Amino acid sequence: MPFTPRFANPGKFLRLADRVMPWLGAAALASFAVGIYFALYASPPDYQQGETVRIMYVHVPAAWLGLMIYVTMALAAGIGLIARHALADIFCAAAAPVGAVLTALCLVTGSIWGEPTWGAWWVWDARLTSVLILFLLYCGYIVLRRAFDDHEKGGKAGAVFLLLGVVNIPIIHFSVQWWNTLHQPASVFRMQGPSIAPGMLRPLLVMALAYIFYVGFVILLRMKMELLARRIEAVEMVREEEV
Amino acid sequence: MSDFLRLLRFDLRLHARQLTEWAALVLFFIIVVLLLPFAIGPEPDLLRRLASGLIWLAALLMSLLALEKLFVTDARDGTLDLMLLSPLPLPLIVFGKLLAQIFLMLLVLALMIGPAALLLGMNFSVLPVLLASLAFGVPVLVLLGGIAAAVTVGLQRNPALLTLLLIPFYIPVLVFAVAACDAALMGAQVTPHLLLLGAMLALLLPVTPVVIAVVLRNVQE
Repeated sequence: MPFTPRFANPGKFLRLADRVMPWLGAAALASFAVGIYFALYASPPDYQQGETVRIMYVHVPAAWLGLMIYVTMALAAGIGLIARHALADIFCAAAAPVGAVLTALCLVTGSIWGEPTWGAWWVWDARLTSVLILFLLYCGYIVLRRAFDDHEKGGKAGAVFLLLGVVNIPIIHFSVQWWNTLHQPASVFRMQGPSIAPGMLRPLLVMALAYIFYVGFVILLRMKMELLARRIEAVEMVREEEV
Repeated sequence: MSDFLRLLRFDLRLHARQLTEWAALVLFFIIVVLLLPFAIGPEPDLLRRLASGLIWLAALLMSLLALEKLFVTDARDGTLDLMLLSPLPLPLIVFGKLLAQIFLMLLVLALMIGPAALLLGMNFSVLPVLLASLAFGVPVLVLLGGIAAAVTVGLQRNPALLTLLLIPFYIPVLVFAVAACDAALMGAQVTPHLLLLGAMLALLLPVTPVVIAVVLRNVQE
């Protein structure tokens, strides 16, 4: 085994999750409280966009996390296919709806921001289109995963789909550089350092942390539920065989 | 090699004898092309501007229809089990099937492209670029569709599933193909878009049969 499956034992994983989750939940609540206070009250309005810039504090972390969750799922899918790690498929199945919701949130908030700023709810710009494709990839994965009754087969089919979909990730990230788009270029993760004003960067980073804690909490919770659901399934199968 | 040619001939003959399959594809393509002018209005200038995009849309929808059946009939009549048991390498068998499907689709398109171009009043200077984009792009559609068809073959028929899986991957093909045709219409550089399509094809052609073989072996019994 190339990857030592330390938490491949579901029992161990469940115990670890139980220990970590209260902390994650508390951290998410605290950082959301601080982040939302700064994002909505204690940060300057933009000199061009005015107050609408505040949507950014919800929009940008959702976009980052939507992308990150897909990358993590694809990594897990690869590990699941190669090392047959028992939790890889559980993670993908648990994380996909979370990623889909965050990507949808990113699209919706972007649309609400775009109407006053660009004068259109939607434009067929490279960044917007590639994020829409990311959302479709999540939907496709969820539907494909649910179409299988057998978890092992469904996991493998889903993993192949996830890995093929990875081609979209660099397209999303570089779309604002490759094509001359309406969507603004990156202003935080740049080679030259962030170009965003520090008074806006701080609340944005706090919000991003809050999203990360929250997503960690929800994914762990969903993984726990998925594990328990499969246990119930297994128990019922055994009982049926006995009868 | 001779085994491969025999397989290819077998698959092609299979396609040739299924007249309903052919007719359905031709009919579907031409119906889409016929309906679109009613949907967007019959102004000749508008149609001339949109012609290549509309033909590409019809080709894309047609391939979704065709790919639905790529492995289903084989799974139903037991051919798929024989493929899995065959001493020939599975990727080679799959490659033969894909090649036959590509050939069928290109043939249908080659037959219908003339009437469709006339109906939509297409600018004839765009036609060579459209043909080139179809020659590169349609095989990409079939290869991608083959993977999706292999992944979903064991499932109860859910007609939306294959479409949902393929749309994210079909959008880039459509974008570059139509960009090439638009560039030809505007008199701009055509080759970069066609080269990108060619790159997709060159990347997928050797990889896809292996991926499909792995999927068939692992996901199906």
